[in-house]
Amino acid sequence: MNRADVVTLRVAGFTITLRRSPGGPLLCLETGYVRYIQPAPTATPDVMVVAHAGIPQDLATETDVLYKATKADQDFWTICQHGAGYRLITYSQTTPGIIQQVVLTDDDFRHWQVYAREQPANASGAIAVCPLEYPLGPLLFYYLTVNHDALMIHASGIHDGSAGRLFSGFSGVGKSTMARIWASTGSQVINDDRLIIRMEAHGYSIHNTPMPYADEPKQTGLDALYLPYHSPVNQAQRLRPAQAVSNLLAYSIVHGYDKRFLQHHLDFLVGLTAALPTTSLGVVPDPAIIHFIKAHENAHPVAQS
Amino acid sequence: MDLTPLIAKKHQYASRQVGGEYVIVPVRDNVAQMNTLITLNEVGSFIWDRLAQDATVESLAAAIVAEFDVSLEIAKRDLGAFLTSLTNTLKS
Repeated sequence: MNRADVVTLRVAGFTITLRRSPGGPLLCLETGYVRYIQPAPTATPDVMVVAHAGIPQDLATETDVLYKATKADQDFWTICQHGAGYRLITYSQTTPGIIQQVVLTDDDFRHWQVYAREQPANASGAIAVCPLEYPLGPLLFYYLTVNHDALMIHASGIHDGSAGRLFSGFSGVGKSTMARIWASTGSQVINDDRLIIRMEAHGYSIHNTPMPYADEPKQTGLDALYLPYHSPVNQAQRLRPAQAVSNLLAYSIVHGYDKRFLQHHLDFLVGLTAALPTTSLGVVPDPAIIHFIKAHENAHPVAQS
Repeated sequence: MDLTPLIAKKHQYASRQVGGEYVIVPVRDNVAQMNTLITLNEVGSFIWDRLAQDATVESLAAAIVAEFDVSLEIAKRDLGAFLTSLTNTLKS
């Protein structure tokens, strides 16, 4: 993207405004964010991010740690209590031990002060800061879900022109495979890995979020949830509400160190599973699964959202 | 049976009643390992609801007898087994 003073993003229906600090370097974003940029700023964003160049040493030390995430035995990110709010520290995944960003945020995660490494100069010699450089972008999206009727979940989502369906589970259960099968018959794939589910006035909807690759913002209404697993035959079993909530929570992105977040996600899932059917789905990975799902839905109709 | 440790442990869980059952989730210092969810059936949910500071085995058994069609003897036996199982589950 061209480097900018102010950028407004719209992700999963949320508005995020990024501003550079007064006199600070211009902003830049990773490729996956470019198509989420809005033409004009909004007066009341859901999150305001102010980007600063450089990381103050006094903010870089981990104290009052609430949770420390690692990835492949490397520091990944850490969240600390910081007064009445929080301090997030993210680490480079290419240069172990190097801090990438430090964030100060208030208790409701609506105002983010992001201190980030300066990015190399571009062709015109301008340096920039990239405030949402991975993993901070997905972390910001997660913390949006703890203050709204929303949930981030490991799932693929499709719309076949008449209904929106979500397929959720751990890695390897066939989320991406399901998305490919539906795409092969003309369905729109919202995303094949991560979605945000929102409850809105008209019902539940699913949205994609910026990924490492360029993609359009996509959303659709949600009508049914499926928990696929590999099976020698296609088979379906509607889950009891408590089973559905337990399973979906396990596949959701949940920062379990804070009871407030857990309770919020539980409450959201109780509403979701009361409104929409959740079905355990044994899958043979070929296009016959589409006919099977539609036949199952016709045999077990539910009120659509 | 002293219920104090179990009652203290209860505060480390988020819980929500769902269709007559309870889903209870441990508050943990982790992000991705939501694989220790517990669901309680109707009677388990009834007991979980009443695991409060002044609860005793006797008061819980009496409440079960008042709510469900069961004798005090059976209520005490099943309650003991449930509390032992719950204590072990919440330890893990």
